[in-house]
Amino acid sequence: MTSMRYKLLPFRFERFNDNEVFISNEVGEFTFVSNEDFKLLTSHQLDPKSQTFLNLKSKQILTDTEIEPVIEMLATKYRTKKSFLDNFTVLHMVVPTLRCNSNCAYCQVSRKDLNATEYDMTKKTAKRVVGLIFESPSSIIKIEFQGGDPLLNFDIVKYIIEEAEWVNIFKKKELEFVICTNLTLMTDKILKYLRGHRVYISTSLDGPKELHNLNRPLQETKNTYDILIDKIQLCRKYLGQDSVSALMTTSINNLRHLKEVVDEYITQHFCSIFIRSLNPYGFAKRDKKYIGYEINEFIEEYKRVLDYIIEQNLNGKYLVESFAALLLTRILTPFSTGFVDMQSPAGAAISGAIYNYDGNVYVADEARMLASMGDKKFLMGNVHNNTYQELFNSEFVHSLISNSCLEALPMCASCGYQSYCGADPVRNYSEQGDIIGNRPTSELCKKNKAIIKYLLGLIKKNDGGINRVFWAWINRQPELLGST
Amino acid sequence: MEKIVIKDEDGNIILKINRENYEKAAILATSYKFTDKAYIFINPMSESIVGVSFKAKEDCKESLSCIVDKFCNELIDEQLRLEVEKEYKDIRNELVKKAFSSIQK
Repeated sequence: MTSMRYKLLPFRFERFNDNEVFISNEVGEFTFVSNEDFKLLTSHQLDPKSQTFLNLKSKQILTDTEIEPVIEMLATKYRTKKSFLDNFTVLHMVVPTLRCNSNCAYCQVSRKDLNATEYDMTKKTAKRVVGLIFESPSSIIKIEFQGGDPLLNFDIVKYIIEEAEWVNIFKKKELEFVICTNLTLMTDKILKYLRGHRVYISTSLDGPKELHNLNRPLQETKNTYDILIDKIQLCRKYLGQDSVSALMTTSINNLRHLKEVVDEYITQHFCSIFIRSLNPYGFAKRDKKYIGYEINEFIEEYKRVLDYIIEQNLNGKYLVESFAALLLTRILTPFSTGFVDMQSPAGAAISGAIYNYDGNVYVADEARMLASMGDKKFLMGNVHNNTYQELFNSEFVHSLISNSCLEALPMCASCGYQSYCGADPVRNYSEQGDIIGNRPTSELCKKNKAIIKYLLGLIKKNDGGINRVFWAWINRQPELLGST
Repeated sequence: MEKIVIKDEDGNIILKINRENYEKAAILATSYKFTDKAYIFINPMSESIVGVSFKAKEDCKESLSCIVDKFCNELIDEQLRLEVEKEYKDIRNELVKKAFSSIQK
């Protein structure tokens, strides 16, 4: 007979393995229970004195006390988790030029030739871009220069930085600049300028010499690696050790050599690495059969290299795997973690937007990548023709965001891992032809679920060493690795 | 006892589901989850029975009977999700309303 000795609070569940069920609530607190206890829980037969009952009560998955204070507490936690929505819009990516001197196998932006100056942003467009950026209500503004390679139109980069700093004298926002570059054109003069304006640098390093050169040759030489390493040293000399971060992209060339990629990051004294799979845009989509791979292969390699990175950390070599760190922060802390490609509602336009060289504004970097392939589905408008309200408060943006809440998407709505995941309508559209997407066949869903589940498995082990590594990553504090 | 799983001459499998035990939403949600593995057709067979037919997809490595077995277990979970949601649905709505109440004002 059913007895209502306690009330169930909102939760989701997944069968974690043959014997256990994973349960998480609206704010991402979680636990594992045996199949037997799960049956007892849902049939209101759990013994209130049992360890399982007390655990579920502490995680606010059930309650046997007055409901109002519990709702208050959950609402506060929920608001905290979603507080990335407070800053609308933080990340403003600007494309000063589409020209690039690289010849990357997987170029996702369909770069243009070095002499194609018609793909450069003009001063008039740049001025209008800055004006619009500062209409954003967010108290934090991050301007990120994307390409092509921004150093090929550095005059416009300088113009935007100085114009933004000028406008910000009155706006008084927290202003940050990042320049994404292959670094090959970096000079002492440019670095002195960047130092004066506190600009961070993001570059790409795809592995040791042979792998990097294979993935990211220059148009005039295949040996970009030596140039890159020299330039990283130069940047550090001017801007400090932590001024340069690097990203890597996994193609078929380095998929089976991810450990070597990790070793290279450690050798070059980087503190973080983001093991990224190929995104289905630009040349990466066009040439998928030459440089792509099955998503299951990536997942297996990711797990293997994550274990390796953890092992390196346990050996005292601090290196954060950024995707794992993001997910661990969502799983193990109450804090908000906006990540434009993976949040709910999606970050498109509300967390990040991109201003192309011609003044066209897109909801995400991937959206302008799609546009470069001829599909302008995610075009918000143009800086010369539209006001801020028309760009960011349009019916199109409203519709996009309301259709990218995991809480209402098929399969995501009931997914036990929902609190840690996010929606990506642009990716859904590119991969599957519509913004909602089809979860059973979605590669993104497969990848995210598999990695979240793998991390939960590692957390469940409750291994002292692994726990220390995870907390050192979450807090970005190498000293938490402690003695092993 | 009446068979609940029928195999037709083309090797397709029809699963007979009692509507008294399972709601439409649970049947749809479960069917959606398996659309990567099989072509699924949902047809009412009588007032109390819904037939769910499975036709194997060419690239699926799993046997159809294995897919149907997994479907049956997943169907139970989907129905359970609906049952527990009935209990906490109002609480969830209240929680979200409270969380964003400052914005609504």
